[in-house]
Amino acid sequence: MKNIIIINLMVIFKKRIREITLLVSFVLLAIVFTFVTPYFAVVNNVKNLITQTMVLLVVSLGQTIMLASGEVDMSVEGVVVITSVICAFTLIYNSLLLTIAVALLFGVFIGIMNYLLSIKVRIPSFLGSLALLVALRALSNIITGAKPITIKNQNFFVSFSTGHVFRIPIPIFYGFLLFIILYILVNNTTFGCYVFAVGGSEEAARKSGIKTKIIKLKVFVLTSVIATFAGILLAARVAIGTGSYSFALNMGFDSILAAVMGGCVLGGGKGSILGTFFSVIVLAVLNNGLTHLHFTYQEESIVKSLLLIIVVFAGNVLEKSKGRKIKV
Amino acid sequence: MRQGALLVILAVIIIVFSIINPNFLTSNNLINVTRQMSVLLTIGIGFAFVMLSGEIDLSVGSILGLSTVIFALAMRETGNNSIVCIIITLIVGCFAGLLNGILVTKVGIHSFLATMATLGLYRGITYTIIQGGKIPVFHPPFSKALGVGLLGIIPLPFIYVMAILTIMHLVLKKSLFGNQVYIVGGSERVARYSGIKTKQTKLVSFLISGTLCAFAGILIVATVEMGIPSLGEGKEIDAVFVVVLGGCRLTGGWGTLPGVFLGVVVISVLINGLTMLGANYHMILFVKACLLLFVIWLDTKIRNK
Repeated sequence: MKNIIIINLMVIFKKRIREITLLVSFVLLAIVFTFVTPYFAVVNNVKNLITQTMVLLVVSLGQTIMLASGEVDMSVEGVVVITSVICAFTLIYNSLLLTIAVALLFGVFIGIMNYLLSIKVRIPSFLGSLALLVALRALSNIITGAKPITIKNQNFFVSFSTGHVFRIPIPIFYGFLLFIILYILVNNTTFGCYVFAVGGSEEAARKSGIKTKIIKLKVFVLTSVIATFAGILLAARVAIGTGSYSFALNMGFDSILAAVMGGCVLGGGKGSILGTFFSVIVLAVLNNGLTHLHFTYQEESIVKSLLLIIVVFAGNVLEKSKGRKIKV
Repeated sequence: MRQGALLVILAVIIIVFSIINPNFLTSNNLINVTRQMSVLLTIGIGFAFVMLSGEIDLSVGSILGLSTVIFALAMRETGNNSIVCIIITLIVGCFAGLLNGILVTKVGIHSFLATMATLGLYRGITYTIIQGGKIPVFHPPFSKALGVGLLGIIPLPFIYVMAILTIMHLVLKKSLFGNQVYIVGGSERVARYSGIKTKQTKLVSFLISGTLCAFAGILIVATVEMGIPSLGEGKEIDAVFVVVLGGCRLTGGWGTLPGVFLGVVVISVLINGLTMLGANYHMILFVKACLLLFVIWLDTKIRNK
């Protein structure tokens, strides 16, 4: 009996090695920062940290599904930016429903664009979405005249930023809700299963009767719509719509970093919503701690770049040593 | 066929712009365009090597920014000894390319992910070593020789770059290494089975790209007489643009340097013309991105026929 428990624990440990590693590094980082800087372990700081990281969490969750299906979406950053601008413009009419509808429709549109570019035109998705990112950022700057536009609608703030549900700050509520929905979608539905199948081997998926193009279209639209939602959250938090280059800077890169840390590979077929969730938290703690230690943005970007290289390298080594990696 | 189409496009662009704006075809403006072209062309040649070997290098702009700052710092430290500084900068660029190559070939990270990481890495290093601000480089003989000098009516940097282009073209077409680049890009497996050291070939391609980016950085410093950490941001889009416009296949193994040259000419003329019409930075960026997508779309259309 005792043996069975131990074996079971070992199987779980092996299967969840990435999540456990992330959890351990989160605890270690938190302990280190608590001792190194007096500003880290403060209730307000922790609350802010979690609230602020929800935007990245939402984007990264979408990116995880995208990477699992074997494509990359760099344009999420552009979608976040232009959503803030759309919110700023449509909120003039004081209708929350209209704003959300327009923003989400735009997300659907960008998703379809991405699909057409990478599946119909067959531009590699990273390149097509990169060009789209540049276009979206430029477009936001053109329509705002490169000036930030202030959002004044109180309703909007209460619904997406300052409000509370069950005494939880509303962005955190949304973030966790989305996490749970996507977790179920990926792990417990046929759609999730198909996504991994398509990402693992498109050829094999097609031959076993999966409509791969439809799956990819759904994934592209889903990721874009999720990014739109992140854009709404961000716009509500900062109360401006802008295309400025410091706004949502490197969100595409960060989301890919989080997804890859969580277990995705660029080739597709692997990935874990739970892993991404943990790695976003690790990244947020790292970011926050480094800021309190007076790291500049650029120095943080060095750290993050090195982190990405190390994580991918470690993943490759792990895969080689195991022979075959357990899919999470 | 491809290059003929590009020439027609170029002719149309030139005619349209010269009708709209009489200042477009003045010798002053043309000299300007040629000078700006040399930087993009230098990056484009290196980028073409990487793309021909089947990989992508997104860090070109960051290497360029890094090399301008390294060069400016070296000039300050060595008391304007430009030859030494140029060598130092080229070595730094070479190492930057080498790191890209090692990450892709030895560590085995997808080149898109690896160079995206080094894009942030090099840019971060650039800002960190300079701690904000700019470093002036004032050394007239150097500026004249590599930046603002003219030979007749042709800017000197353009002549150097054309020399590089010719050499690299010969390397690609006549040398063993050039052949290997094409084969590796065409099909890595075939290349490996026929005994080519595919990883080494890719590594050298990244090395060439890094070194040429450093050279492009030196050319920019010679013109603007400053080392600026933000220089070259977003250059990777331009590089992809000219290389694809010039007829290189995104998956590698197909394309020529003269094609890249034509691509550079078209985009430089286009940007110059749009700027003279009063388009701002964002509009040009938007046009570029849309045009890039359009060109790739056209490319696949033609190839499928």
